[in-house]
Amino acid sequence: MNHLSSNFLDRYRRNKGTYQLKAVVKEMGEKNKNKLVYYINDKKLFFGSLFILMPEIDDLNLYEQLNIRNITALKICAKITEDEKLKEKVESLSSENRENMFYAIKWMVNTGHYDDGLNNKFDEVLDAAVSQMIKTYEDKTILPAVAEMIFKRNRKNQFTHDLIWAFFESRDPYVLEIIARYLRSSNKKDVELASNLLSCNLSDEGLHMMRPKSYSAYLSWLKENSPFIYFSGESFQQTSHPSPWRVNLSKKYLCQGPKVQNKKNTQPITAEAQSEQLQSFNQLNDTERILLSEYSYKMYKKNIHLWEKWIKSPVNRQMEIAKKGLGGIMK
Amino acid sequence: MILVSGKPFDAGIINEYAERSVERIIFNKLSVSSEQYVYDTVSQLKFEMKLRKEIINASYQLNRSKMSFLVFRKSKCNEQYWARTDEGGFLLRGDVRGSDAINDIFINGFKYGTECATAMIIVYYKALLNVFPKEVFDQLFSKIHLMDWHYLDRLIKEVGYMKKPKEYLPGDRRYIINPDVDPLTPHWQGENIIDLNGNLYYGHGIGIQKSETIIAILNQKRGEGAKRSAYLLDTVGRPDFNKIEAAYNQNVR
Repeated sequence: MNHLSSNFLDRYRRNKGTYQLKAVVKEMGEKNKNKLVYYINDKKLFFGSLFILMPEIDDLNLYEQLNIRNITALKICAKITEDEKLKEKVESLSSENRENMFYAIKWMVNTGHYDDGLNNKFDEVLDAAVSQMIKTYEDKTILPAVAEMIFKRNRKNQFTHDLIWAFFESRDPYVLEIIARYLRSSNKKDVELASNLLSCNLSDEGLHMMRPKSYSAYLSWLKENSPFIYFSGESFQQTSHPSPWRVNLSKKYLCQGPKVQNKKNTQPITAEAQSEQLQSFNQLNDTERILLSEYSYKMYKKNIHLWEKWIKSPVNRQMEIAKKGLGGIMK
Repeated sequence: MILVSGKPFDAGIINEYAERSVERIIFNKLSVSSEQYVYDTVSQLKFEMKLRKEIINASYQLNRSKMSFLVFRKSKCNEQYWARTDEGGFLLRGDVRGSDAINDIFINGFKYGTECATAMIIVYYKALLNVFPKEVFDQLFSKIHLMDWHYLDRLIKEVGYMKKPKEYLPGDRRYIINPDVDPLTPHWQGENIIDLNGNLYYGHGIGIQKSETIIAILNQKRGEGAKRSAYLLDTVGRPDFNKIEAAYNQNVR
């Protein structure tokens, strides 16, 4: 536990260890139960301490005195770890509503991630809490903490599979910026994992993987492509090289999308012409589509009037011009 | 259309295979396709047929093996042959043969439990073991690490990639994705499956089923308020058959 919680039980655990904490809790439970309940229900308590003290809470039968946050957290623990005895004891206590669940799970993640690695069961509960927070409650505030857990576990070759999946399931490109920060890490394993997670498959054939070369190069790439990226849903369960985020090359080629800066005084091509151009564009091979889409967007940003002429020309003519690169029409 | 050494393939070889055999089904599909399937030699083509058939056989064998479906955190293996890693994968012990360790999964399946992706890798290794002589298999695969699509041997690393194919063929790996899975059971986020005959598929934990049945099962594993159905992706995972055939020629023929 690295973070300095001011709760008595957390401090005791930090200074004296789990074994001593359990001993002092047992003693306090016999001498001053109310004081113990006060500490356990304290809003500053960390989830790790509650989890560690589950056997003592059971021995002292403190369930009915626990607050809604703790009861909800214990219900979640019972469900995830399939602990039928615990489930029976907490099931009827306090009502479960969406708001209670949200605050309890958020507390579990926000304070629990400091104790990540405590033991297999704790990590399992934490993974499920993260998954719930992201998928059910669509909470994005926990994402940096989740990234920290992923990279910390990866350094120790521990289980990251479900956390990585949940992290990307936020379906928010913000995750790419969070991961990119680890490209600057002095730890080789961090850089390797960040590079893997940020790799982007640019083609359907899977032959054009964009692997980030450096933090700054990746940010430039992301800035260039952010108007066109979309969530693909790929995960490590499906493939060895998932691209959870992909670039929509057709939209990049046509410079379309809600985030593409609208240029004034443009005369967009008609929907019919667009459809024809796209048909030809999609018949190109992956390398050509990547080249043409990149060229198109660069030209669009640099000279909208030339782009308007270029985008209306036949695709094979566009390709000739694009192959000449910046030395051609963009002079 | 099948091209061997740049020429249209003499389909006479098809008669070597039984009427309803996997090989015939594949031959017929490739022959009538408008796309060109290019092989350097007849041997390459026949090797792909053989390995595809063994992928299917291994799928049936694993389905019968009694290996259970367990999430990585709770995965289990026979420690006489494998060391379970902190991630939940299985690492071949240094003092045993890869062939014996792979075979043990099929003999003592009840001692093993893992998720669907790792089961696919087991299928591939078993298929290779059914094709290669045991000694060659042990020589080629002296270090095996079973853990979904991570740590794949260089000879089979292509199975970890998914691509849009020209045709779907028996022995292909497919994937059914479940976008609205219950966040508390993320292992049902999708199912890796082996195409057995274009109609039936093998998926670990689900068994041998039609794709519609697998989709219906995955839909039951969705979270509250789910709106999207699970669906079969249009991509496939395949080994590089020619690369493996080259290794076979080098070590066996």
